[in-house]
Amino acid sequence: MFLASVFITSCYLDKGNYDYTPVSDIEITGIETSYLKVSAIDTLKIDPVVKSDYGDNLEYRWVIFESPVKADTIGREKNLEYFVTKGVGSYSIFLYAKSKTNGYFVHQSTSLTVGTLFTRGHYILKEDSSGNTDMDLLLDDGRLVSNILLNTQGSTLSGKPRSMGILYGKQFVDPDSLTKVSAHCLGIITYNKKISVLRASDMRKLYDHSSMFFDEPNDTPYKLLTGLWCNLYLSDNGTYSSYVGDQGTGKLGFPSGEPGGSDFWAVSPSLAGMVYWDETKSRILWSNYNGVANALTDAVNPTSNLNFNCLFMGNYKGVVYCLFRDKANQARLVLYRITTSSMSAPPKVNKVVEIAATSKMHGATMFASNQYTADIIYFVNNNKLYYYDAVNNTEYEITAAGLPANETITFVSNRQYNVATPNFDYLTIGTYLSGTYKLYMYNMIGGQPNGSPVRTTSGTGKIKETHYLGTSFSDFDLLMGKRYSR
Amino acid sequence: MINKFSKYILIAFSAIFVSGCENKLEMFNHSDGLNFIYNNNVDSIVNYSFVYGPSTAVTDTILLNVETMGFIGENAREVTLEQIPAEGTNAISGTHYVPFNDPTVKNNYVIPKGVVTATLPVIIKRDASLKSSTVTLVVGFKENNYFKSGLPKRSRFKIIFTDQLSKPANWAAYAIGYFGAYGVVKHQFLIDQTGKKWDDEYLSKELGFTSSTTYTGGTNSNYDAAYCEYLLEVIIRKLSAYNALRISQGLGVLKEADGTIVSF
Repeated sequence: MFLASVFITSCYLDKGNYDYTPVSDIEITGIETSYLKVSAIDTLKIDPVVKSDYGDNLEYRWVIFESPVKADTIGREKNLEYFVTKGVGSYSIFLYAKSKTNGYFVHQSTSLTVGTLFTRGHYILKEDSSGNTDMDLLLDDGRLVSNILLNTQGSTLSGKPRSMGILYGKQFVDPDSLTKVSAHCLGIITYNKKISVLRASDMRKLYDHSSMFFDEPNDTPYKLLTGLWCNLYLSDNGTYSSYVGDQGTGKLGFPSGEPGGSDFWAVSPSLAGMVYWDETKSRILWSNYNGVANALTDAVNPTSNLNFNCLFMGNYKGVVYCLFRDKANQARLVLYRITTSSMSAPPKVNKVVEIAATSKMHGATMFASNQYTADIIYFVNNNKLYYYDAVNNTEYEITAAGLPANETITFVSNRQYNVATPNFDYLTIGTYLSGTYKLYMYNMIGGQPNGSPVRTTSGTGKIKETHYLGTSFSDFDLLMGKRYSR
Repeated sequence: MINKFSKYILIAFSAIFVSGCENKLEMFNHSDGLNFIYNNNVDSIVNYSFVYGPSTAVTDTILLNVETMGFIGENAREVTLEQIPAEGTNAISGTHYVPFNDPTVKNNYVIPKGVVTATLPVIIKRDASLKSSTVTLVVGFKENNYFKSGLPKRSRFKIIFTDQLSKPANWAAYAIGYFGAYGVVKHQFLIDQTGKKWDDEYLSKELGFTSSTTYTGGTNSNYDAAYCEYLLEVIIRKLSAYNALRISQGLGVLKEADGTIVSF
């Protein structure tokens, strides 16, 4: 019996069926690689194309993953219609299509970025009818979110708007968890020296002037912005910095390097730093990629103790233009062309141009540079738009289609963003008439507005600035040539 | 008959295979032992200075966490501590610490019945000699009727104490990186200027520095680079002003006892 049991296996007859039947494949197409939706506002609709020989004999399952171990089923039909309820963040969505006949299945995935209304779009810094500061948000889909400070903070910010800046990866101590985190923020400054740093996702105020320092200085604030890998604060004390996304409190200590600052500054992508005017000492400063300020020196042209008033600074690629008015001769305008070649080399004064006495720049009320596509400077004189050709030192009037003559131009700027979609490079013009602003965004050819504005909106108040807030930021992308306007 | 024979064969083979599967386990026969509890080697050392405590204090207590090896005791078990000779100036029993067999402390050295961990107090004394010296007390376990040897790597606890400022263990890679090499005069200057102790607790909780001697692992979650840079700048400015005052008084810049100029 024992021996028999040993040899039982040798009596086994393999009755397996090796006459295989080919299984029909399932092909899923029509799903984009990524989607961006607003939580509690948007519905994600995906209508995939499914090809197979199974006909209606397929079952579907849509699953959203917050993490590899946390998932929810959000649909069991071929077409997905999901009202987005997830919080701000990035998610993976998988569609599984399975044969009811034999269990064969395939899947296709995509990514979903969930934001709030505030996480993406053109922010419009404006002066309200009371002379205080508020902002609107033009969403990518054309909707306008109005009076955000009034509606989220309970009041506008005291004083006329001075500047706004996007602070990517701003460090702070999360007020809920009391842990050090970072998030994209908006930094607003008024002429009443009021500062408000707001977390973009929910408009929660993180810092004001009294709380954003380890030891609050008595200074005049000019600008908050993100440089390369530092978030910067420019005041008449100098340049303060904290690293993007580094896990700290985000509070500021002392300015780095040379003191001084003003409302006139430019960011050079090749320098990965700023060139700016020191109002106190009448000199030109520059800061490097770490936000350390230095005095600009030049063997030929004076750069300090200048008897000038600065009228404008702006950049075209790695060139920074500084327009000055001579204090001793108000009819004299001087344009400095400062070149920046690399992150490691100090800027140099390339040339200094005397602006012709006949130039309409003499009476101009606002200036802006084209930042990438044309070596020109825009300016407004008597409510007409011109550009100054910085190569040939000539100037021309600009005709912008659809720009009503009875509206007063209050804002001109080249606004660009190509870090992620939407990829744009607009000549942006803001106008004001009877308590209402209008915003016109033009595509450009050679720095000129091309055709009618591709985006417009209007609201109450007077535009000071606009800034596009994107959802992603990477210093590596900036080093690789990605750009966005500060 | 054939069936009966087959059955015996089967039983015999089964017995062989059953015995072949047996994996005999040995009973635990190690003597009960004691270990100090620390998460890493750094925890095995305590740097203490009486200068941080009340000026009237004449003693202080260092708590040593210990654990047992072996079976849980059905009765309280006595722990016998002993001083192990160490490098440097050894603490003197009775002068720098209360002897472990002193009746006032002896009863504290007990593992209560039914438990495997305990906290044992070592009482150090503020002898006048500590004003000018730093002593080391290495504590170990002495075998007794209840406990034999424990794990060799957890058998020592070093207490370094003084009545003057001493280098905190957390004055390591990051502290040196920001504030330079340690010095007693520098330490006192930092205390005077900031009102903080600059001891291990401050360095860890306020600045986020660990005792790591390399930058890897040199900080904890309390670390904020911007704050450390800010604080460094504050201190540099204070030292500059302090030195200017000293120079105006003919004292020269601040120096350590060996003449090293205090700098940050």
